[in-house]
Amino acid sequence: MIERFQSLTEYVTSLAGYLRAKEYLVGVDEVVSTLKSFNQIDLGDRRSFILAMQVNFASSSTEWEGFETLVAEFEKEYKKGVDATIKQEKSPSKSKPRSRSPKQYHLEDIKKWLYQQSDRDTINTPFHGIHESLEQRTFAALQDQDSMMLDQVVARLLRKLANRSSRRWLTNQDRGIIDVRTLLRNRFRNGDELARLSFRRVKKEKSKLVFLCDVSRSMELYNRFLRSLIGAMPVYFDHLEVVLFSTGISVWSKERLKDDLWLATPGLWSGGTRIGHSLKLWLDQASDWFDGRTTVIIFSDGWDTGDLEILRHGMYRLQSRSRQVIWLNPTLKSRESREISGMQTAIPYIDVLAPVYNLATLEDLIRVI
Amino acid sequence: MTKQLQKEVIRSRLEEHSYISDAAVTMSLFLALQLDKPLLIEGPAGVGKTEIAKVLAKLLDTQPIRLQCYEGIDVSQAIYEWNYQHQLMFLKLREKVSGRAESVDEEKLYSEKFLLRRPILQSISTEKQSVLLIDEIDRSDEAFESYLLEVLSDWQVTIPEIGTIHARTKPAVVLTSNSTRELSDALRRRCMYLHIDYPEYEKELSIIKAKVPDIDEQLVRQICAFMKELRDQDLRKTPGVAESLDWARSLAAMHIRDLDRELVSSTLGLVLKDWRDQRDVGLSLSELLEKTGVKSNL
Repeated sequence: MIERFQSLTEYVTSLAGYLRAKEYLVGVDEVVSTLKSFNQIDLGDRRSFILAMQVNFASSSTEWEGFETLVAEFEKEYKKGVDATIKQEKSPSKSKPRSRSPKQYHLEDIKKWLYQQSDRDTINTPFHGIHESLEQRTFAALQDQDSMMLDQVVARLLRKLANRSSRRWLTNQDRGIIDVRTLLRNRFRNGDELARLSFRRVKKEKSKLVFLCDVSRSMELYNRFLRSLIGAMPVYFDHLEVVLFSTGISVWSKERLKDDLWLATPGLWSGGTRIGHSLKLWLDQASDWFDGRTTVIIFSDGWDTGDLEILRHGMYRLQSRSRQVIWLNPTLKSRESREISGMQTAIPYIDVLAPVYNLATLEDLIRVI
Repeated sequence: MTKQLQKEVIRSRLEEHSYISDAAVTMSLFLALQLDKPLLIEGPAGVGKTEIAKVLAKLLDTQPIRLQCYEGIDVSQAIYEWNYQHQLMFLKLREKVSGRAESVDEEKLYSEKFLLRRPILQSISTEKQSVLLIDEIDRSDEAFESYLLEVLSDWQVTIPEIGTIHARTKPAVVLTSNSTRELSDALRRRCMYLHIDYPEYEKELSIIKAKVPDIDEQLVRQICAFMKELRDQDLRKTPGVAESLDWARSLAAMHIRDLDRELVSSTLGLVLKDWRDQRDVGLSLSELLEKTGVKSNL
């Protein structure tokens, strides 16, 4: 089976993508660790080969027990996909003899893959269409080709957040609903027999957005979703501030977002999280940022290694000064995150707590807000 | 030393130390040592998770340093603590010698002399690589688990009064969990993973033979068959290998060569640690023994 892949690296990255779709916690670190493990074992021994991947990719008893079956499924489906592609090709593949032996794996392959294609840790495979719809696929399993769909849903979310209706009305000349009061006033003021219609419409409020985004190591799996979300924010919000946090903070105004924050942020996808401490750091320097138009979105799994009292105080300050606090938690379903003490501390100060881990849950959020 | 250990060597050395391993155990230990990563072992109680760390220490010819986790465990029990009694004695002694109270240099008061090293600090301070066993990590609080993440990542401990202590050698770390609560994804992703379940009949047979060499062949087969049937029952506390071994040792000490209903009934307490389980199994003992192929003597 492995011979069907161009290299062992391709096989492992494809399998990692497949496992992510099955909600395994598999990121770049696990792939690199697996490839390093292959340097230590006899690859000719199928049992050792599977075990080396199992030790690296599984992280719970359920994942451990189902691993071998999933690998078998993966290989079967990949084989189907490859065979179908070969049949469709008109030009005979005989002219291009394919190497029978697998390409020898070297550390240089990993380096090349890791550093030169850092934004492409999966290789397109035909599995997802067979088993599940795009809406149900977790953000961690999204592929490059899914980005258009993701961008569309993200845009609808941000548009809904940005366009809040005010309680005030605006008169309008030619559209909206008929403004009966103005119509009657004009009638009595001018004594017109012929009614000149007046319209009015709801005034749109310009919202402010603060996006607090957890970039600790455990959130790495959702980076594709975050890139899409943060990338679209400047389009919909004039007043925008993005705060990336883990153990410290990195603050990005709308103007600065033109630069690549993913490259310029130190400590991205590494280390633990001190949510309360980070909130305090930011609130101390941005206390004048808030008013009744400010929406705060927090994207985090709620794991806080710092003092929970600081988190509680920070959340209280956030909620009391802003219009609403929305907490998006990508692990809420799979890991019972409500029981995490950081999450429990924050929940009383959250207006909308949403499990957001795939497009379907994102659609649910759009309906709720 | 650890880097040079080959998979086959690990397997044979485990067996030398009476640990009957399988391919998964050998592979996970081998890769954890080769890649310098902690090994997280999950599984039900009594299947030999802790034993792996102990045998690993023997294999590396070093002492295991054990950190037994429990609810409320904190830095002072896991990493370091100041010896306040000794510090107080030191101050009193100085007063006695000089005849007056005087200010003390903080550097002297907070020196390594008064530092009590707890398991994690011990494990990173040794010259030779040690084996750090963090037992039942699922019993600790999330806050401690989060703190552990930083230690496992950086291999350094910061003591405000002294500074940062870097690891002289990275210890081989084994974490065990009985899955009483869900561990964080962050911790899981930092570790190699191994799940150990109750052993199959043949494996349990080998384990008991290795640990209780003077046991009768027929008896050990009956014990393993009975335990296998017992684990299929709906029990509050399913017996592990540890219970099988206790039972086998006890029966071997009594020079028993064959199980019967009376014997099983009177020694059931060695295997089942919940009175309701004992009652329920006692009620269906004849059926169980029949499945096992043991005579009922009724």
